[in-house]
Amino acid sequence: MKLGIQTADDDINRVNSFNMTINSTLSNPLIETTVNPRKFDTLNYTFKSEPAIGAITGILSFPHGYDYRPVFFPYYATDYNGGSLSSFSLLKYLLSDAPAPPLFLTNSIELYAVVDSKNVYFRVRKGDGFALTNLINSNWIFSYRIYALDAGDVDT
Amino acid sequence: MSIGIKMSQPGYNVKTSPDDKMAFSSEWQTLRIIKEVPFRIPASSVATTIFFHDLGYAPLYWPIIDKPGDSNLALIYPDGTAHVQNSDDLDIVVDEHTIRYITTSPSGGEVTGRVILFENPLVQNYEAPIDLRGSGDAIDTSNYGVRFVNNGSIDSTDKRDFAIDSTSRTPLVHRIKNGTTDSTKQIIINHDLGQLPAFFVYAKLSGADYWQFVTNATDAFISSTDTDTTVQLFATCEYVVWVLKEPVNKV
Repeated sequence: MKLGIQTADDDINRVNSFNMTINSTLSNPLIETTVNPRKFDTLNYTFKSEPAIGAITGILSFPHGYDYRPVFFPYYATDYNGGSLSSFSLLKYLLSDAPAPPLFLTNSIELYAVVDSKNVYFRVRKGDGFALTNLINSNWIFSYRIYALDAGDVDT
Repeated sequence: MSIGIKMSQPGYNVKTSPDDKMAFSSEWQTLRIIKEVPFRIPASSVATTIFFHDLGYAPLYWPIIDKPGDSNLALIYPDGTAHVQNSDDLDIVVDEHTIRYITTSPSGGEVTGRVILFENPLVQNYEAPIDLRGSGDAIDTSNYGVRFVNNGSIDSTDKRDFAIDSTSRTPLVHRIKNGTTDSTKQIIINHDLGQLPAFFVYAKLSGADYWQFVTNATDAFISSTDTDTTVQLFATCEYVVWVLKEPVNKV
């Protein structure tokens, strides 16, 4: 006997599985496990800082409170280079247990986020042609979403 | 006749709660995971199939990538060139049957990570109603709620064990917009949420048979405000934009 719950935005007995909004059972052969990822942590932070020229510089790190590498999505807004603090973008991201590798945002400034089993990091690396004073004099807001999902290791 | 389930976050009246204080509504699409696929791509690998999902449609997915050293998640054409060339471009892509690793630089180092594969078809158009306009003020602090266990015990304190838990917000889909664009067009999606929503963008470049996850970079400008989500991909491609109801700049 299987117990669980199913809901749908139409007749529950007629819709396809992918039209259901909850299916907590394993009754559909396509479903091996059903988990709704959810955010249970959020953070906004505005900083003014100066990274080392040409170097990866840890600007912000936040403990996320979990003992695993969670799935996360970082967002940012900036008034740098004509941007607006009211306009957010999804930032490129990686997960890593090692010192964070860079991801290229532009050729002039490399902005990226990483997560390990302890912290979420937002970092900047200065590139060619980037006016350092622009970073110092600009505002940045970072926000991230952590979902109750283990990004894990390939062996787990 | 409208029958369904609505569930608000603790302390909020389910009949008047604004969308972002809802934990769940059966009127709205949710993201349902069918598979989590860990992968390890050996160093110097060329394009590689990671997993055969055989759903028959391209599914929504989240690529979580661990790659030491300089790298770039880029829009990559089928011939192995990137839309905007960098030193070491790579990505995880999906089609109707597979999840694949593609790269412009087969000499790159080992890439590991995990793909979160959802049951939801990636390519669709969808509009959820905004029917719950309230003050958002908490009205009650009583300790009660609803949770649906997926694995383990109902008493677990690990959120990963639950399909729904009213103490946590569930990602609820607000808009899905599919269309085509080119190097000059700017796509503006009026989401009308009155708050900055989480969003995800995918693109299928001209000539490609796969979809890629796109973030803001030199080859794509993607941003959202309280009213609009704006996307410019600078390439001839098909796109799909997922806008969730959850805000990114407040708890």
